[in-house]
Amino acid sequence: MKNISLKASSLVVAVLATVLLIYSVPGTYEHPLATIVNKVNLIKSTSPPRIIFVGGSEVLVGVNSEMVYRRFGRTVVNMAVYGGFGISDMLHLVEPHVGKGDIVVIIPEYGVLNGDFNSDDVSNKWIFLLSPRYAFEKIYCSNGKLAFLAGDISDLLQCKIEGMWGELWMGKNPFIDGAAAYARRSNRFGDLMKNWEYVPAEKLAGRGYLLQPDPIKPVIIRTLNDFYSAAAKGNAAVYLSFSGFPAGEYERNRAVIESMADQLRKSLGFPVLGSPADTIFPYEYFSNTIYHLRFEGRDKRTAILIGAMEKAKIQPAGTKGVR
Amino acid sequence: MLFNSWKFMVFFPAAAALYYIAPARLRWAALLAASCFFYMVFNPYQILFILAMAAANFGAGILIEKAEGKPRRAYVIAAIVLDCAFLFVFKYYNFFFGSVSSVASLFNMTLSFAALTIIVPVGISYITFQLLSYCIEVYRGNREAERHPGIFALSVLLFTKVLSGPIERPGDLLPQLHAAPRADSREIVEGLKIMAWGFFKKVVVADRLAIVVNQVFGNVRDYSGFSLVIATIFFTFQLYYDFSGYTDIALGSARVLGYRLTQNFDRPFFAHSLTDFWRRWHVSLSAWIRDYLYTPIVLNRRYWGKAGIVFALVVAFTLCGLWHGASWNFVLFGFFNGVGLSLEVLVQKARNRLNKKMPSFLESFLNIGITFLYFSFTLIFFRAATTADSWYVITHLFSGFGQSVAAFFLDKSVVLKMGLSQFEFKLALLLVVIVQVLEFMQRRGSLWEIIAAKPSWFRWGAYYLILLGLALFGVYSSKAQFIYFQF
Repeated sequence: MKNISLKASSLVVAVLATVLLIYSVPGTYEHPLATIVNKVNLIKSTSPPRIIFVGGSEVLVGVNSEMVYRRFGRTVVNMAVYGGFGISDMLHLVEPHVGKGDIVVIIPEYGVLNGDFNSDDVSNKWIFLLSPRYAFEKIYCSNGKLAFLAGDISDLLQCKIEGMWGELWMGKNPFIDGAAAYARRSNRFGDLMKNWEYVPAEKLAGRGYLLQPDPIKPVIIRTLNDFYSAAAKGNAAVYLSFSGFPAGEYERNRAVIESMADQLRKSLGFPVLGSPADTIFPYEYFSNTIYHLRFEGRDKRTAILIGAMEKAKIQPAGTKGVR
Repeated sequence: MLFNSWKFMVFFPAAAALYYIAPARLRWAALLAASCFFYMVFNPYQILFILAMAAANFGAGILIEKAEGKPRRAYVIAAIVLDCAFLFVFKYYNFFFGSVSSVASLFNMTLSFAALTIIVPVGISYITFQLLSYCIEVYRGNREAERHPGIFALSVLLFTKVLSGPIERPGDLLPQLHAAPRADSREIVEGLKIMAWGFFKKVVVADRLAIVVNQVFGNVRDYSGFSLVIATIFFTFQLYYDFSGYTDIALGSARVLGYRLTQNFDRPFFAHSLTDFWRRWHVSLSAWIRDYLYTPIVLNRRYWGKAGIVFALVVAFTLCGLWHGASWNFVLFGFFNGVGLSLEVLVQKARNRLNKKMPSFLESFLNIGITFLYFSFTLIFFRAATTADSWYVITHLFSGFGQSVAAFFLDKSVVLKMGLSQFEFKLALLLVVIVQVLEFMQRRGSLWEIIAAKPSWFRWGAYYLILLGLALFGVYSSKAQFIYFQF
């Protein structure tokens, strides 16, 4: 029995060692959300003063960072990937890299403000990859999700093996998604450079969704203010703006959206740029979901955002008095 | 507490330790306590129904054994009616009266009935069949009535098989429970190996195939042609690896405790006919159907000749379909299997003549292929959410087939639309091939016997690969249940 136990233990150790080896070796991950790895690398590799956008896929596809760069002369870092990352965990990833003179513009999707501010089950593993200790404590332990950790690590390894396999057999850039396809699909600021095809309004995902008529949870306000306090200590500025939204959806949820905007103006310790009504567009400007602007809508929305930033007296780089 | 949950990973070693620490004469009690706990994790109150059923059948067994003549027959009929009534109320009441009401509405009649909103006790179909088998075997004199209520309750609730079988016969399980085996390191190791292989089939293979199956069958009207064919074939493999994976875990965990449960599968996808297939697929259920439904009907209708056999097959398998679930889809699944088996009976002579004329490899290839495809066809009813969806799948399997095949191979997004990346899809295919090759190799003995005969580096290499496969390629995010758990 002792002999068998010893052999079985050796077997388990050998398997764990292999897992650890694959986890540690450098590699790319074939998964749409693996783009977050590149985004963190982007913010690490650029230096202040910058304009940093934080949000969901609405910001990933709906902000033209080139226009913002041309107007303000600052390097732009579009950190947005996917609304499911939430804002709380995204801000955690951004915070250590915010430096003196940076301007952070947070643009949460209404569904995120109105609901769960934390990353969802699909996104957790990517937070773990980039910030293991934080994810272990804040996501897996405190939310009772510890049982999913091993499975999430296995998922990460599968994405990595898929990346290795692709590079080994199919040469460079064979990927549809993920970190490996990032260079091909994104511009230097991190915007996804895809003009989404036209989709009839009735087929837009999320259409007809009704936001809950509840106030924004205090924890969300606290998280935003905590981020602002940390950024302010490093002499960075923080703003909040609103996402682009189809006119029909805005009308349906007008009372809730306006009430959320009021609450944000009153309870945030930092300025709010414009109002939700500023970035309302016809359905034709959107593709596949009510949050994804096509190029035409993206550019109009960016122009409105630049206007709001100018109104808030955000100055081009090199000028004094950012705020 | 499903076998593929972390709770079970904690529960099982604890239950096994409790079992072996307990004195031999009290092991049944330790195992019964663990089994009750296991069952109560699903729903703490439903165990009362199961214990009531067990008590009724325990008493019925003694009464049947003691009685003679007409009273003996009356007792067994009463036990059968009672068991079937339990099953009917919990599982079929709403379906039956809903169907009657629908038929009545065709004749402009309105029949209203109060729908029951009760949760079906876990494993009730398996438990009912096991208890029916017990009473019938005692009635037939093949088995003495059990006198130990604790061991009888344990035979019903044993956690390794209570969820989805195998459906144990009283003559197989009860004597083992009385024997209370000692800890045997070989048996424990063998059991753990079987469990690991079961987990591999479930978590690595079945749950990966499930991604495509759930995506396509969840939105059938978004797909046609080759995508539907792929999803249908994937489901056939998924169902097999899911259920045989569960069965391996059940058999392996029982083996760790020193018990041997009934083998439920014998390489079914190498069956040469549907008749052969049902001897290899869900063996404990098909043997039950054969012994307690098909054979009595055939004997009752023996003067009908072949028509009697056909009648018995169609009735027995339609009921077998209904056993799977209270819906017309399951009834059709069973019915079409009954029809297929009947056709084999009717054309048997012609088929034998044709087989003799063909080279043996061609004969095997065709017979295995036809059996597999026919069974896959019947599974469309099993998997589709509604009969309308089943009909849609059947009528669109070959629409624009050539085009859809070309698109499948040329356009990467077609596979992606089915829920998997190219890599994952190829991995799924590779895993199916690997497992089927391993099954083919098992024609001369079990996988573990084959591996045991190899040098130690090969043996340990094989164990390493299974565990590494579980660590690296398991699908853990889907929180998937076992398919047969719902029955």
